[in-house]
Amino acid sequence: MSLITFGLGAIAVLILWGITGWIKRNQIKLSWPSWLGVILTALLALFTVAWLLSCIIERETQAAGMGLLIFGALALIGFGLTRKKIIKDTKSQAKGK
Amino acid sequence: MNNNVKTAIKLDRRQFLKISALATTSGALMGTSENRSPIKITNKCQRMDQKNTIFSRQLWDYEFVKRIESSIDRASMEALEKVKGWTPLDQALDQAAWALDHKFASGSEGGQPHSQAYEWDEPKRRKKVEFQNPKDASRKIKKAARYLGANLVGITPYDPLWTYSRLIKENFESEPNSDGKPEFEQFVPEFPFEPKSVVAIAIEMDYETMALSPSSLEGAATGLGYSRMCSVGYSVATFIRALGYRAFANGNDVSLSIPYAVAAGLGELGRHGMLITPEYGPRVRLVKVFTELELKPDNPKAFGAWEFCKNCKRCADACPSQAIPTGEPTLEGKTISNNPGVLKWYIDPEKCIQFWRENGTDCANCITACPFNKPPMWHHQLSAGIVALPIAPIHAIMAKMDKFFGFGDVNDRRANAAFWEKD
Ligand code: SF4
Ligand code: SF4
Repeated sequence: MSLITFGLGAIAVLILWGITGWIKRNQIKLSWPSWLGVILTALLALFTVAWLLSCIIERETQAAGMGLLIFGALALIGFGLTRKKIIKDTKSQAKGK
Repeated sequence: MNNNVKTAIKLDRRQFLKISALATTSGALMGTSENRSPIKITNKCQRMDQKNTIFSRQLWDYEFVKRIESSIDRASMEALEKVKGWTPLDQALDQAAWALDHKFASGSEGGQPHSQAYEWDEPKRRKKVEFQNPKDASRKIKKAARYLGANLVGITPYDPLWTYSRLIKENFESEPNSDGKPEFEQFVPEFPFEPKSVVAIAIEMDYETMALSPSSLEGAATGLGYSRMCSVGYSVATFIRALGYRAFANGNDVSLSIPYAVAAGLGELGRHGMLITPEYGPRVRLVKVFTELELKPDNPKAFGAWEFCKNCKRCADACPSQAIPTGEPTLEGKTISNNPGVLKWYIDPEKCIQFWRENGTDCANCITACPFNKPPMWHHQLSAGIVALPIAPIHAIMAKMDKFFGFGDVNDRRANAAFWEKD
């Protein structure tokens, strides 16, 4: 269990590091709905990984698969919508410049 | 008589005795006469005669015994030995798990009073250890109980309503009478002291083997629960006696367990007639310690199980004998083993025990299938938090999701086969 917590913490740090680095590199200013999307998607992705690992430890393979399917799909949808919103943000920023 | 038949008959007799939780429950009433329980009790609810419990009926209700016996197919019972989960290896584990109960609390699981670990009159320390107040005493008793192996412990006042009005005891010394029927005696329980408090203790049963219901491997989980019950119960009673106060432990032998467990805040009553705890769901066995020591009681605790049961029928769906009702709670059951007067779901213990006999061992499908039966992991604790919300549609969705995700599957022969292969 402590290994899962450690792993999830590491993934969370990597995601945050990646996102903030990418924002800095591209000099993007995110609107608050985009930030909300980023945070929720990251949380959903983390939840999916944590669910998957926990179910595997529990030897509940069906629960692991179903979790991956449902929570993973939700995370993907969240990712798609957030990506769209960020692109829109950057475009309007470019126009503004 | 060949060995297989002997084994089958021995199992039959023992499994008959093993139906404790359900038998207790079938007669079980919720709450106490002081109304400490959240469950509705009417004045139709009276002290139950132990003679009417499903265990004890084998001593005198020959019609019932004949009906159950006639459903047993000896040939298929022998063939069962080749089925994974019922092999001699599996049965050996089952027997070993029950060993301590059979040695130190023999017959108590079937309701026999005065077994070794559950004896009423054991010596105590002459000088009493004084406590600051009942709260201080409760804290220390609970701490000791947990140290001695209790998984959950709560305290409630003694209530005679839950003690059997008359006990029944098989007379093992005398030969069966001329019809081959056992001799028994009935008596009004007279304890050597006036109990004031009850320490209600829950013992967790193994998750992995319980999930292999219905099989001998699941029987091992039940047996180990009983063996731990008598060990922990006796130890806690000994602790209290060593403090100078009279005390004795009891399992299925003297009183109902679930009303005390609910009143002591260990959990709620479920559709399947068993206690549902927030920590382990229904996957627990119960033992009580009666004592003359005055202790501060705990409060009953509602965490959403009763409400959840209204929208979930997984236990009823998983029950191979259709013994669990699917409708609304009622005030009476269908058999004499159901004590009327309490608003609850009355199971049919006759149907249940009939299946046990046919199955060659016991059954715990209703425990295994229950969505509250989960190991203590974060994702299940999260679900439990959602279940606690009093919103019926959410309960219905959660119950469906639990099944959809494959939790609580029963009758999984492949899992039985895999048990001995896993480290
Ligand atoms: S599932 Fe049905 S048959 Fe099995 S123990 Fe529960 S009530 Fe009895
Ligand atoms: S399976 Fe569902 S209905 Fe049955 S006791 Fe558990 S929660 Fe209640």
